Amino acid sequence: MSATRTMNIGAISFDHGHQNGYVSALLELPSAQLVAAADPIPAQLDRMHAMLAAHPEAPAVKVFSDYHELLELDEVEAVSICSANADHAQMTIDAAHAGKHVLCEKPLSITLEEADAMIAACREAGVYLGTAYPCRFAPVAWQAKQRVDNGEIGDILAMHGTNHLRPFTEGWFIDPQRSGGGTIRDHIVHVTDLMRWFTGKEVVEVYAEGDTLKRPHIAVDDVAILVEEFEGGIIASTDPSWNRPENWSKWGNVYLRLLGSRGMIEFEITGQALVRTESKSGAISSIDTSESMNYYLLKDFCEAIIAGRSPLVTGEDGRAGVEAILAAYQSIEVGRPIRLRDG
Amino acid sequence: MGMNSVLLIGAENLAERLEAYKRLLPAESIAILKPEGAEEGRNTFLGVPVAHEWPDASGGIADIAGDCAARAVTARRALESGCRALIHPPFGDSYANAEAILAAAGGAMRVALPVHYTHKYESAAQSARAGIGDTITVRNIRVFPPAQAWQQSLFQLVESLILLGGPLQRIYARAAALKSSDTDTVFCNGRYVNSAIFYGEMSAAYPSNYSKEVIEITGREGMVEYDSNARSFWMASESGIALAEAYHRTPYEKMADAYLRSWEAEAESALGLPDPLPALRAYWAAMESIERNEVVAI
Repeated sequence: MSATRTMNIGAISFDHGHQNGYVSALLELPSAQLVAAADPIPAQLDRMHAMLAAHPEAPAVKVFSDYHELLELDEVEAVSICSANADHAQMTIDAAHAGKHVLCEKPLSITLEEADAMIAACREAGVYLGTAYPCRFAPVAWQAKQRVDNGEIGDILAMHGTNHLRPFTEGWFIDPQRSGGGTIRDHIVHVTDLMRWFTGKEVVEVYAEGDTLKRPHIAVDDVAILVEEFEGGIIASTDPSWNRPENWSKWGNVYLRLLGSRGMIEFEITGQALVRTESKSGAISSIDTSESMNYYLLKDFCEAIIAGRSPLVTGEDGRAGVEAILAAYQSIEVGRPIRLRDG
Repeated sequence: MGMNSVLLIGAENLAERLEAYKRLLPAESIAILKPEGAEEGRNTFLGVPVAHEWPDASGGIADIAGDCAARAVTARRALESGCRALIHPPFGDSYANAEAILAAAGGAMRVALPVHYTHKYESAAQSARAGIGDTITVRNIRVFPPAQAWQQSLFQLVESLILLGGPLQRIYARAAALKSSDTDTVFCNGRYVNSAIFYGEMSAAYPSNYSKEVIEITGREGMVEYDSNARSFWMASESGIALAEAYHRTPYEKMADAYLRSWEAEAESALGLPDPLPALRAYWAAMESIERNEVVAI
């Protein structure tokens, strides 16, 4: 559906680099307009300023160090929150109280209680809460979903997914107080959400192995592997590890393989890249061409709100990811599978 | 374990086993004991005579596959008839039983471990040892059309995991019968003794025109990876029609090559062969985990 007007967006916090990807998408999107940004660390806004400089036609963006000031702007209708995980809940609740729709970076929260409070605050304020799971909007995932929905592979019976990353997480990502955990907290949510989306089923049971092995000096987990059961007896597994070499050819990957009763599909969201190799200097540069998923994530969020419907990825979807994260950590702590609900 | 004649028992990967023996022995030294499922009255299989009764094979080798639950009994008969036994795992009804069977047979019974002689596994393990630092994760995925009992596929999965990362400390395994009345898929994860994490998957439930093999070892200082079908998108249907294809398949290493190399090693040396006990122990731990839905210490 095409938007009938543009939505004014404020970007709150650039702690997570994904905010720059969302800003880039907003600058391209006819249905949205970036009007304000807030971050207490001016240097974190440098990339945004550079992107704005390349788009002289874009309206002026008001910049604040305190996000509360951004929330006071009447023209801001919705906000994109990309803070450290520990701040998601308070910022979302504050935004809801200010009457702003919220697109919150994943993982939605540290605890389920926070997730419930975020969902309740938005509901009570009459604003929409979306969770930023851009992988659903990757063209290859979208195509696969259409084929699954068309019944081309039958009922899904088993799944395996990965979301790997090179070990370049630093700062708040590896501070357990600010992040709530490492690779499990950061990475199982994309694959879990794709699995929930493709099957329409919830996670029933999780057994996880996880540890800090790639970079033993950091304070959060950096390798993990989960074996899971979804409703209906679907078995699944997820490898979210930050275990790729520093000089791996890609930043990471998001891969999913689905076995259906009548066929199978596998795809890699980050598989497309433009690579330049220079013989003389030996330089290799790679541009990930999968960025369009951010565009479609923002497009859906803005058009949904303009149309008065919920975004495709809701706060409840974000909560389900948090539930899986907590089950995985609990499984590691007690050394056995964690049952979340009846299958 | 010298080799001058062989009696092949059991239909699992029979063509590949036979092809390997044909490269080692003259045709007249090879016989097949009626493979399960073979047509009654059939007297040859790929040019090799099929015996319908236990032939006189004393002094030779009985290469024993077939129904996993019956392999130990078949091996005992082979030993009693003067053969030496090369048994394909798993066999027996527990780890203790399998260990006792091997101990009772002494050097007259060996366990076939073809994964150890598969170039890509051997190379991956050697490559990892050569320069990626301490192993931190191993992922092995073996999705093949059904050619052997699922228990044998599970054994080969744990054999692979051990070859790639060392002895296992604990395992959690889930099994499912997704496309048949019997188990056709197993997912497992767990820990190595050195604390590295592993994931293993075997499945014979995928469409017959699809297969996938992933060997991945990550270390503190690097990574070894192999994906039989590196590509961005693939879809296959049970009808046998490939709906989309955008990759170049890596040529398959023939299973017969692994059998040949393993039997050459058997024939040439009684020393330095892979120890089957760690894989047998891990296999039975996986079976126990499947039965109890619990993590099992190894």
